[in-house]
Amino acid sequence: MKRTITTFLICSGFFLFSCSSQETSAPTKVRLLAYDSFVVSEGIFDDFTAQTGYEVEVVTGGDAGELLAKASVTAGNPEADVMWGIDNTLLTRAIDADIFASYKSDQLDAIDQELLNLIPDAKVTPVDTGDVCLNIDRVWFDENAVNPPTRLADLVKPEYSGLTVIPSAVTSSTGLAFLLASIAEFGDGWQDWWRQLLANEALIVDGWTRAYTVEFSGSSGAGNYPIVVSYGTSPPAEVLFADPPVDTPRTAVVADGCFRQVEFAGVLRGANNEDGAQALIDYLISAKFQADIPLNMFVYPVNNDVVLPKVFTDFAVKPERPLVISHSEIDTNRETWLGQWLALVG
Amino acid sequence: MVGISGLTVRRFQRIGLIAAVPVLLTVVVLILWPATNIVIRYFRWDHFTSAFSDERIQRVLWISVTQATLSTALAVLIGVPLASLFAKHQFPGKRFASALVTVPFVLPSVVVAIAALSLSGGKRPLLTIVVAHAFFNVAVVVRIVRPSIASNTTFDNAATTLGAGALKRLMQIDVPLARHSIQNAAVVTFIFCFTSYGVVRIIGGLSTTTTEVEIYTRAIQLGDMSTAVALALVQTFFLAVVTLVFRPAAEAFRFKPSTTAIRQLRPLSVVGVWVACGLFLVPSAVIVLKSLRSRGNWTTAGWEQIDLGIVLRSLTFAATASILSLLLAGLLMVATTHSGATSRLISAIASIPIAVSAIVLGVGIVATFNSGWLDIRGAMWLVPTMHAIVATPITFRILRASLDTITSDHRAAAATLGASPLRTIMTVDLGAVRRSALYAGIVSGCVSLGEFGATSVLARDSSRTIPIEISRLLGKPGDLNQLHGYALATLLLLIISTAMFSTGRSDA
Amino acid sequence: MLEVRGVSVSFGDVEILRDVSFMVSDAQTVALLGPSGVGKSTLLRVIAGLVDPNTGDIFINAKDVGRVAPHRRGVGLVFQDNALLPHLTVRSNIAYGLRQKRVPKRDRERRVADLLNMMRIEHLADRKVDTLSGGEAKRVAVARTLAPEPHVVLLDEPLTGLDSEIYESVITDLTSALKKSQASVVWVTHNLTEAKRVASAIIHL
Repeated sequence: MKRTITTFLICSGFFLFSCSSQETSAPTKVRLLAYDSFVVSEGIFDDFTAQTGYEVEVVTGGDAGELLAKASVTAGNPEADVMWGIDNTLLTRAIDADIFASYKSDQLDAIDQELLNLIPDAKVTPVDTGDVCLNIDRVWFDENAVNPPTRLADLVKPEYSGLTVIPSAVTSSTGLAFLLASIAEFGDGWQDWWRQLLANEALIVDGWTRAYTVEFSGSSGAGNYPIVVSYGTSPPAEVLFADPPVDTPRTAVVADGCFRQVEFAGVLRGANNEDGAQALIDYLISAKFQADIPLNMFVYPVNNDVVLPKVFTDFAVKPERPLVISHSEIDTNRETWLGQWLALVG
Repeated sequence: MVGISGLTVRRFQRIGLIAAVPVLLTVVVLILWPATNIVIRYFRWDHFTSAFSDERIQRVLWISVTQATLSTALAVLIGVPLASLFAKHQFPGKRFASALVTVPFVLPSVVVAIAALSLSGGKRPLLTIVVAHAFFNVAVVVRIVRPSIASNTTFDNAATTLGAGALKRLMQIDVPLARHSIQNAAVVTFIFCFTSYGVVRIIGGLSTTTTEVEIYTRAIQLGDMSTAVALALVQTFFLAVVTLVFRPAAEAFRFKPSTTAIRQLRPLSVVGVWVACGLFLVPSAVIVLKSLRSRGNWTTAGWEQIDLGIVLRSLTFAATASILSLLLAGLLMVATTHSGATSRLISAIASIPIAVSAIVLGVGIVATFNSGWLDIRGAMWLVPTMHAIVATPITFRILRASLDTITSDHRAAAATLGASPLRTIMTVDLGAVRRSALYAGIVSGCVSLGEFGATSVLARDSSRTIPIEISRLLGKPGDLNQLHGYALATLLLLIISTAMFSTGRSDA
Repeated sequence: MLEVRGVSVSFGDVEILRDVSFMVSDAQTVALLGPSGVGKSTLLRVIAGLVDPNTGDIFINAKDVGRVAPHRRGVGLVFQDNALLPHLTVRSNIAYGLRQKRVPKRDRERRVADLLNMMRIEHLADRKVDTLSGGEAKRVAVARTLAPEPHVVLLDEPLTGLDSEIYESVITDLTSALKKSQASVVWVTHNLTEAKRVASAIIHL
């Protein structure tokens, strides 16, 4: 027993310290820092390594907000070479914190100009988009012979009383996006709308997980609320990951009143391997990598050459005219809006 | 009573000081320095003062204190009678029952929170939080109080012969004689509940928020580091005051546990105990059920998705963390073998990690160690090491509790038998805790499996661990993802229960 | 051979022992007799090196051991509450002193077997010590003390609290084991009959 413990101690010592040594000479690796839910297919970076000679090391560490907070306190001296996952609600904060080095890829042709216009000084590059939309439980509305809502304004109607569950804007990025949607939709009247929404017995919970998987009646959690704030791409997941298998999802998207989230990747200022970082940005927007995104992370690629999987074209919704607020406006007003919202709901 | 001559005392103290160096160094470098660094960088006096005039923050502080107090009271109320029962009685399935009570403590908070939510239906958040916290912390109370009560069974027997009933004996013998242990347990529980993050965030929603959640919201969501730091300072200060006022105290009376005093429980009472311990199974049962039921059908699809690589990786991390934590706690024990001001100071410094805000610490580490040879961000050893440091105060308390069976006479006996002070520490002190070392190691390993806030913001190899994978899966739509997530949670539950159960024998 | 010369001990203002002197030759047993609280146990601890005397010296085999740490003095002490190590079995408790002296395994096992036999506790060898009765525990404590063959053996009220039947059997085995050890023995008791029975000389404290 004693010997086993000693051996184990020594082994774990080796295990720890052999990994702690940092490479200093000419970099052979590119480090990609992403949020915890970043998932890609096995071997997706093999082509990149073959083309450039750089190996990609993916490190994760918290959600997008946490990544930004950490990057802000070490701006110019980053944890990695490339960061993935800052979205349009955080972009201004990231740019103000000066964490990114400008880089304009020469392979932006397949990306909508509209997305590229969002970015000042080519600080970052758009990599995916997703829409925060209302999802409904079709079965519940059929069984109860109620017409599902078709726009945000419907939620305050008496027939939808006590049916909606919403993640908090303060603790959830999905919730924040929904708050922004309401501000874009109702302008100065947003607070009034929220007052009516609460009076109509909407439930506000901490985050998406509880809202969708516990309280929403359409998910396997089989809760009591048939309307939930989720994503335009949630129904495909309900088909792909159904058990028992189904042909069509039980849930549907309300296409009106969605807020578009755009996620960006950028070269971190002070990156150890700036050349590798720039090459990696090019690769992240290539058709090869972009095609890997939808079924792994359930967001839309930005590269228009990518053919979407069938389950996306069948069941996902990408609204023609999503609600938009510029990232600088978001940043200027974020604290005020959240404060006002908290005062309303807290 | 002077047990050991001046000559020998000095040698013990020297050994203690040498042992203290690595522990203090680790805590100062990896906890105090980064936390202080962040405070110095972001502290603004006006934020500090305005924070307290803010109505929301006043309410947050008030809720923190209220829920922690209520949770502690409930945990003590359930834990002390259970501890007394386990200490004084023998009944069929006792090992299993005592393992059952300990398991919750080491479950990831996201799992406990979701189970609690499923049971409460999201109503009455404050009550749900209090019950969930009590459920978590009864284990702490039982662990700390049980040995003290066991050492007082002589009085208990005397009282029985004098005709005192069970309740009377509990209130008039166990509680007063074990009051220091109860106080220690209450302080530890209070600190855990006060700084609780995952449970409060998921159950509390908007209205029931505590300081740690508010620190997170300010620092991460709003990017307002100054207010976060102000709150973190208040939290640490408050907890320091609590620990200082209710300083860990040794029991005034301590008698040898007498095994003959263990009585058989009456059949009716056995049923009662089983029902009570069975209640601890309910939240776990919810998780198991959620891993097997989908849309009204039974299925094993979630279980089929499990990637054993992730499980093995988590176990390796946990094992590394638990060995490191045992090492630190062992050194700490040696450092505090002899009572005195130095030894009190050492154990105070070593318990700092529990009172520091996890989020501030996480950001602090990234902000402090970011250049040259100090750049340890992303180093593979960092995450298990942080887990180990955070688990050490708990590991230390468990080891320390089993050291209570050792008196200065035992050390003196070792000396007369030819053991040098160093050998005495190795064979008597460390020897005596060997039995609980396995248990302490498992608890610290489980703490690491449950993943702490401070480390969840540290960058790591994208290879996932169980808790991260659970929260990722539960954060995705689709039945299979949910089934898979709950299957992983169930697996974690099984691993932890088996580990706890298997140490039950040596621990009893 | 043990010599205690002019030992005085006080804790703070309380004087425990004043100018105590006596000698014990090899294979001799001396009884220290006196009521509770006169410092009998303290005197044993001074001899063992566990308590520093304010004045006075201890000689073992004519050598002043004042600066010798307790673990190097070769003094065995049977504690009043036995102080058996709770995490070790009976066998390991008895072998403890031999391990400290790094006695080879085979010799160690033989010595332990002898002592188990001498104290008539073979059947307890693998028991945990917290399951022993008072008489059994005392036998183990004596065996443990004698195992490393100390020059001096100190016994702190070894028979107090044993009922009469067990008392008889323990005292018989204990005295014969001590006789066999050839050590200088100091036997603390508050019982005059016991003192007369086991010792060749009695010192009143």
